[in-house]
Amino acid sequence: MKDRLFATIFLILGIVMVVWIIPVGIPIAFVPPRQIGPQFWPEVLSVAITVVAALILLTPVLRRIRDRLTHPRPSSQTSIAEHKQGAPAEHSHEKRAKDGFRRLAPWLTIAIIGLYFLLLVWVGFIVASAFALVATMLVFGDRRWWTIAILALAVPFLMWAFAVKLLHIPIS
Amino acid sequence: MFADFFAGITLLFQWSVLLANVIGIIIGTFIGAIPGLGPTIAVAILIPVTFFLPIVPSMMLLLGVYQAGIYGGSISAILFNIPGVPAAAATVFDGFPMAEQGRAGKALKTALFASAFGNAFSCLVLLVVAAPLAAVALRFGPPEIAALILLALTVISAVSGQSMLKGLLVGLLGLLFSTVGLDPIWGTVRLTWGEPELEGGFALIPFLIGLFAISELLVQSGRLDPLVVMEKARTHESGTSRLSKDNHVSFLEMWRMRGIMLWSALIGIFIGILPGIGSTTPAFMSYALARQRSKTPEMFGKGALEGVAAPETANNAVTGGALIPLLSLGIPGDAVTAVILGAFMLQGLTPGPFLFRDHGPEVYAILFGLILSTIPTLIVGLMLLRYAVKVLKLKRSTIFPIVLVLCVVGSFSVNNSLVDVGVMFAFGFIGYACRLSDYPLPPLLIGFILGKTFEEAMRQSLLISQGSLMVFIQRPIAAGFLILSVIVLISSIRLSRRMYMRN
Repeated sequence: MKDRLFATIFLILGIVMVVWIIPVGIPIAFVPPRQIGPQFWPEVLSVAITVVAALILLTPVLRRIRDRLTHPRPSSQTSIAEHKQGAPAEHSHEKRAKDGFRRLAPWLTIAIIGLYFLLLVWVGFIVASAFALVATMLVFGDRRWWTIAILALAVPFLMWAFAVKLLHIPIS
Repeated sequence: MFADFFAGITLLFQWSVLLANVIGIIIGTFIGAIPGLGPTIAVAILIPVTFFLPIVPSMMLLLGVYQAGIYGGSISAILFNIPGVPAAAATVFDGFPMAEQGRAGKALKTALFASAFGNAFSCLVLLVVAAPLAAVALRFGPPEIAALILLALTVISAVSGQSMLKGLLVGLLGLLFSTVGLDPIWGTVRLTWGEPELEGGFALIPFLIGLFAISELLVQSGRLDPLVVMEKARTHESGTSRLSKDNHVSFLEMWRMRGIMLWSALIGIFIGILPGIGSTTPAFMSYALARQRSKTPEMFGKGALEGVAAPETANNAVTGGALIPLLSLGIPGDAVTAVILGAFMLQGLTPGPFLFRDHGPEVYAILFGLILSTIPTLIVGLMLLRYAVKVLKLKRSTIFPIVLVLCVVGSFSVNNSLVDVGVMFAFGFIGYACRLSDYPLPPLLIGFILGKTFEEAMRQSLLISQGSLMVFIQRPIAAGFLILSVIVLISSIRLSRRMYMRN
C-alpha cells in the first residue's frame, strides 16, 4: 500500500514537473538548431518518472486481472475464515498505547528535526543542539534525567569546540 | 607507472598515515558492531574530519572504517545472533552456535582472520586490475561514457531491492535531483529558485548523510522492539563471558580452509565489481558453496568453522572489488563506495580513468596502504574483541541523538552553510519515505552521483553527432554497453515474472 502511495506521489510530481516546475524553474535559453536545451533532460526524466510510477501502479492491477482470468476466485467464506485465523490477538491497553507512541515517534522526530533546523537559524548551534538532544532522547524512550542533562550540556559544547577550535568550521 | 608506484610507497610510510588508518579501524570496528549504524553512516559522518588532512591519511582513515566496519558487523552476529551490518547475516548461521558452545572467541578470531584475508586478497586484485582498466577507459569518448553509466544505472536498478520498477523510479529520481544547478552545456541556472548556493547543485555529502543517517534515525525512532542486541548485551548473558572458553585458532585450522576462503574471496571480488549488489549476497553465496564443498555438511548451522570463514572472507573481499569500478571508471558499486567517491572528490581527486594518470602516487599509496592495513586490522581487531562487546551496551537513545548532531556538523562543514543542513534534512525525509515504502536507496544515490556526468556525456555525444542518436550505435564499445543494458533489463523482467509465477 505504502509503495503505491509513494508511486502516486511521484506520478503527480512527474506531471507537475513537466507542466509547471520546469517551465518556471528553467529559463528558456537560445539553442542552436538540432541541439537540446537545458529543459530537455529534466523533462525527459520527469516523463520517465511519470511512466514508471504509472507502471508501478498498474502492475498489481494487471496481475490481478490476469490471475482472475487464469484461476477461479476463492469463495468468500474461505477468505473470511482465513482473515479470522490471521487476525491479530487482542492487545492490552498498555501495549496498544506503547505501539501507538512508537508509530507516532518517527513523525515526532521529523517535527523535532524541523524545529532543530529553525532553531539553528534563530538561536545557533549550541542551544539548538541541546534542544534536539533532549527531545530526541525523550522520543527514543530515555527517561534517565541525569544522562539527558549531561548529554544535552556536554555534547553540543564538545562538538562546537571540536568543530570551531580544532577543525575551524565556523558553526555557531 | 613504476615511478608512480614507488612515489606512492614513499607517501605511505608516514606516522600520520598509520595513525589515521588505526583510528579508522577502531571506529569502523565499534560502529560496525552496532546494528543500525554501519560503514556508510560512519564514513559519511567522518568526511568533514578529512578536510583538514592530506589526501593519503584521509583516505586511509575512511577506508579503514569501511574495511573494519564490515568485520565489526560479525561481532554482534556471533555473540548475539544479530548482524551489525546486513553483510554479516550469513555469519550468524554458524557464528552464533559456536558462541553458544562457548567458542565465541574462536568464531570471532576466525571472522577476523578471514576478513583480513578477504580484504588483502581483494585489494591485491584491485592493485593489479584497476590501472589497466583505467588505461582502457582513457580511450572512452562521451558516447562510451554515457552508455557505460546507463549500463551501471540499469544494473543497479535491476538488482537493488525486490522490484526493478521501484529501483528504476528512484534511480530516475536521483538523476532528476542531479539536474539542479548549472546546465553543463549552456550554463543556464536550473531549478535553484533563486538560491545562489544551489547553483553548484545539491552538495553530495549532505545528500548522502540525509539519505542514510537521518533516514536511519527516523527508522530507529519508530522501532517497536528496543534494539534487541543492545538489550541482550545489557541484560542477557554477557558477551564477554562467551569469550572465555575455546579461543584459539591455529594456523593449521585456517590453512585447511584455504580453498574455500580463496573461492569466497573470488566470489566477493566478482560481485563487488558489479554495481548495486552489495556484500550480503556474496556472503550467502560463499556460505552455500562452503557447505556444498564441505566433507561434513551436516555440521553447518551447528558451529562449523568454515561457516564463519567463508561469508566473512566474501563480504570483506567485496571492498576491493567495489573499488575497482570506482577508481578506474568512476562508478561506485554501492552506497559506501559512493560515499568514498564523495570523499575523493572533496580531496580534489576525481575517480575515473584520469585518476591514475593525474594522481598516480597518491592512488598507489592508497592501494598499497589498503593491502598493508591488514596488519593493523589484525592487531587492533584482536585487541578490541572484548571492548567491542562493551560498545553494544550503549543505548539506542544515547547513540542516535548524538548521530543527529554529528550529521548537522558534517553537513554544515562542507560549505559552512545552513542550506546544506536543510538539504540534508530534506533528503533524510525522502530517504525515510523510500525505506518506509520498500524503495531501495542505492539507485537514488548512484543516479544522483552519476547524473551530471551522464547528462554531460550524453549531450556532448549529441553535439558531436549533430543531434543524431546513431552515435551510440555506430561506436562498437558504446553499442556493446547498450546491448548489455538491454540484456540486463530483459533478464530482470523475466526473473521477476518467474518469481511472481512461483509465488
